[in-house]
Amino acid sequence: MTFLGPSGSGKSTTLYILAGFENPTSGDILLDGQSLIATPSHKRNIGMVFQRYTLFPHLSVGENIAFPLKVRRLPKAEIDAKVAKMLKLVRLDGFRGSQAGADVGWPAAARGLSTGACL
Amino acid sequence: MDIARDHRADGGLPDSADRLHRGAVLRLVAMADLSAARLDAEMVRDVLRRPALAGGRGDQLYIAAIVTVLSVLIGLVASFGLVRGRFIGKEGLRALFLTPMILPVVVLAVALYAFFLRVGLNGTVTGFVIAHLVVALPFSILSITNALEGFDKSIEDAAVLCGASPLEAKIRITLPSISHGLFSAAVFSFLTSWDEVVLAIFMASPTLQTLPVKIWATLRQDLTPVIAAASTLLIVVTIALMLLVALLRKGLKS
Repeated sequence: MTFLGPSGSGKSTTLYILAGFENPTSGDILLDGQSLIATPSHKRNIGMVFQRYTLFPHLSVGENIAFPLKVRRLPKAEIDAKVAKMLKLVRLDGFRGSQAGADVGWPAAARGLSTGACL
Repeated sequence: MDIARDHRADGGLPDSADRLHRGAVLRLVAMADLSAARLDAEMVRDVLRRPALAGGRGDQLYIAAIVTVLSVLIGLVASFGLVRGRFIGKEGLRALFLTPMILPVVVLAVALYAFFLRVGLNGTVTGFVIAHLVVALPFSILSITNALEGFDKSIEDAAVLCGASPLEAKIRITLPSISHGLFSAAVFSFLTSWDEVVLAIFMASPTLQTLPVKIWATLRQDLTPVIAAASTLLIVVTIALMLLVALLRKGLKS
């Protein structure tokens, strides 16, 4: 599915409603037949890459990708394995410890995907 | 030395305020000479040994430390409200928080003194901390709001989408990102309390005094080169902290 439109037409707003940062005036969001409206943002299990990538500036590439996993309190070995897999996927294996550059989208994408989010 | 003695002789007359002032300036000049000639480790040790001067230092450090912690905590909460909040009168509230910077300190000191007399806080650590907090908070709020405004809110949103609760996202992502603001808030709050003399004179009691108050009192009573050494201590602490800030800011940026 693709949203295409001039700026100000509501593409970002739609995504923000999906993410739970904005409330829709009417209507509902259904994911696998269940309403997401009442679920707070951090429990919606959504992966999202922002326009400006929004990498955590004080963490390395590897730590950025590990963040959603750490928040979910996964065991350390599992986190390490998943981070390595993600780094391989975006072909950044050698950059695990390096500081995340703000203009690179791949680590952000890897972070979004690392949990196996539903959306 | 002669100047000092002359001035002491007429120092009590109410109409000699101008001369008293000039006397004080001259005395400071004389002291600068003294300090250049005789300031050495021996004198610094003398400061530390003197009960009259040494008694206050523990209190002063204690007060400055509490002021620093409270100022950063309150400043952090206030800054989040001032930057992220959406309510009527936000700009007015921000201006209100900064008024202690433009209000004459003496006016503030007299008002606080009168108020503390009623509630019995004069000469207590609590009174000292509250008074210093009023003047330290603007520095805290200024540097933390600056840092927070420069921080991209969508980074915090991204953390929330990663599954962190809003509070967890703030603690693990936002706070480390604005740490330079928190750090300068802490240093400026500490220095405000550490070097402050006007409020401290009003808040001090014979048993609870800070070093600046003691320097002021000693200057008015007798001339001793120990004051020069004590002042040097104050200045050295201040310069050391400013250097630390400069170094750490450089480190945080790279």
